[in-house]
Amino acid sequence: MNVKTTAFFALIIIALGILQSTLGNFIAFFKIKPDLAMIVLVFLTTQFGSMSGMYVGFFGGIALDLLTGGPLGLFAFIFTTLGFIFGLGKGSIFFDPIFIPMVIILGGTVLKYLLYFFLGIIFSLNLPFPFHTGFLIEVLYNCLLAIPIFHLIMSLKRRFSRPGVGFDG
Amino acid sequence: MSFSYRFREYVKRNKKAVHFFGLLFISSATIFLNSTLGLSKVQEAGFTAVSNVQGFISGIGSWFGQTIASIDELRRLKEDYNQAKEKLATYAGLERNLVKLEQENRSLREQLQFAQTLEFSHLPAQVIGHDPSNFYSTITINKGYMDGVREEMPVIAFQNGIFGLVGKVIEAGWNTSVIKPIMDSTMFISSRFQKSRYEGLVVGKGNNEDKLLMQYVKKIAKPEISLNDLVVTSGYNSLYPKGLTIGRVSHLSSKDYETSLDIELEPVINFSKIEYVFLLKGDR
Repeated sequence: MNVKTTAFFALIIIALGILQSTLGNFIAFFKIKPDLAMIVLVFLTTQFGSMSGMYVGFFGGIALDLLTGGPLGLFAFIFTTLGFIFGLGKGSIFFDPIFIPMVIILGGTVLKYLLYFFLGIIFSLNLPFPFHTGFLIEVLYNCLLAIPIFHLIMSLKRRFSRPGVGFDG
Repeated sequence: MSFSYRFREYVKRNKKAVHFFGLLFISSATIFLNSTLGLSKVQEAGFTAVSNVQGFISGIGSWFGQTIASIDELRRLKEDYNQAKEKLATYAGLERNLVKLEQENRSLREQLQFAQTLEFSHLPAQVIGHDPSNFYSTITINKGYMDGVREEMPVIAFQNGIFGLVGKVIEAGWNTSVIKPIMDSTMFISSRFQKSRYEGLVVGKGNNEDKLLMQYVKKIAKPEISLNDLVVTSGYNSLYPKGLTIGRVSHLSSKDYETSLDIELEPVINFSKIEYVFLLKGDR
């Protein structure tokens, strides 16, 4: 994936973060919003690799940090790590239409919460404890949305994917 | 082979890992500097840029919502119009009495010199966004530093006839601001019961919980506290003025081994329905 496409997908993640903050409450289930930015990021990195994924995650995370009540750099760290880890699976994961996308997003959501929890401890950030009922609701909600979003990403990949000079060596 | 050559070869062979740990280092440094030195100016500048887009999208969302609602409202208005015409004939005779009552009301108000409902100098604002994550429940409003908003300003809202405490400003951008609500677990509000006057400390239970906890209320207060009792700010050593309504008692219990009561409060403000807030400027 070349630099322009990486920048384009970073803007998509930022736009999804802004959408979550404005219209997210309308699709919230028991006051829990789905993490559309994380879902799209994870699917993008599994298709385009770690190199692009970590930069998309970093800049998307910075934008989310500006909108949340947390410290700057927190979501940048989390999304960079998600982008890197799931990008390692590029070419190795066989995606069926339903089960694997849900499992991937389940893993992504759990990893996001774990990173949030441990970063709070490491940096003594006094963050709210994240593992409550909302965590389970978000896991289920993200897994349900994973299926249609996955199919949308695959159609976008067919549109943007082409060989050329870029981050992926 | 020189060190720089070997270093360049190492970076070339491990490009992904080097980039990854570089980004993690930048993120960690940002988190560390944010919590120690404070990157508030950088964060404010970035927040101002991003939240303006947030305000624009919120406006579009509101426009679509209002357009759809107005179509249905048009149909209802037509029905109401037909009913209203029928009632008009009946109400014509009442008009003379109404005019007389209005004159009497105006004269009584002047004599009693009614104060304004809200005694604090305040700045109204509209909610344009909420926290995009489920870790926090911050609220973004459309007023910022240029409008007179400053950090630590108390925020209230008006719902169901009551002014209730919403939270405080934690970040004031150029023309937008972020509010931390009272449900946040890091919010502590010095408070007292409106009726019995016993004091305590109200703490948020966390982001997706609607309830608040009131701590350090002595057990001797139990006979004088009932369900639905109002809790207000005490104003002691607090940025919140005295007398702002926080919530009502929804649960009251005590354990034998504890010296204080377990009190749960239901906020008077329904945070899922907040559209407009008022920022208190500190002078009356």
